[in-house]
Amino acid sequence: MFTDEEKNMSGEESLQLIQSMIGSAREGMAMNGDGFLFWGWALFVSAVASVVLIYTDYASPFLPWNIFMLGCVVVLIVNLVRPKKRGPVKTYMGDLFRNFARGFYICVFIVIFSMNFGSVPTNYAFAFLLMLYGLMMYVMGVSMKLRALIVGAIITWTCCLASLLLVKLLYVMSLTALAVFAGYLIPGYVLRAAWKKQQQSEKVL
Amino acid sequence: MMDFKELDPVLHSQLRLAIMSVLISVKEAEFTFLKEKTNATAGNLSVQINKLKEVEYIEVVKQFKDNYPQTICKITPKGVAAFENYVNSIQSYLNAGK
Repeated sequence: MFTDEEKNMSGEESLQLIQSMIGSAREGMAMNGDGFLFWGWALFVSAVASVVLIYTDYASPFLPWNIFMLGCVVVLIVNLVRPKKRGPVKTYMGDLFRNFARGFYICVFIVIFSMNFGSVPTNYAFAFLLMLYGLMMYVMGVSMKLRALIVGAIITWTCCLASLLLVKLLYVMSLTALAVFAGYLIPGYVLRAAWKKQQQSEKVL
Repeated sequence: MMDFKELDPVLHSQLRLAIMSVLISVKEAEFTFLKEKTNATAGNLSVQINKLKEVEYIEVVKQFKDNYPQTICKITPKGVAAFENYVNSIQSYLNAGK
């Protein structure tokens, strides 16, 4: 492509080259949605299972969440032990997401901690978790210009408010399932479809 | 065609401008990433990277990853300023020509 490196360029050619290179650098950085789908399904199944257990008056309606937490610990250990893979490029956006995710997990941990030690009632704690999920979705949605995530964030915050008003655990769990479906699963599948499309177009090129 | 005598000669070259355009969009990039994006030969890319490094527009870190040499490039604040200055100059030339 660039064999004659000293070729004189016009102003338009220079700007076109800059634009095409910046566009090209951003290609291939799209998320594949795996994280959203993995956590989305885990949260969705836990919430729906809890709804069923509460509805059927099961003695331990939070059993699915205990299993979910156990899974989280396993994932955390695997992530800490597994050697980190370094990609061919590091972006400012990637750094921002990583640091934001760290802060998000710390906030989630504080809410879960307060729930387990009885400082905050369980139904309110789940509503606060929805508030945090909404924040994460909103920040990522705006950064990636992904409308599905922004809509998901608005639905999640609405579910958070509704949970705080309705209070009853059966409703809170149902609203959690709805929020996770709208804010994790739908954007996850949108991201996956976009990523697959991009992979195919790169193969053609 | 307009006269580009005042433009930064280091940046007013296709491959060097392409490298800088890629590096301004990311935090840092490996040599292989730059090669793929610019579609240049390894030799030519290497020469132009060295020229950008000599004028301190980019930082180059050479290290080993899984026993393979790895070259990581990153734009410097001086490089960012030069790039911005270059784009502003071109835009003012284009606006003056309208």
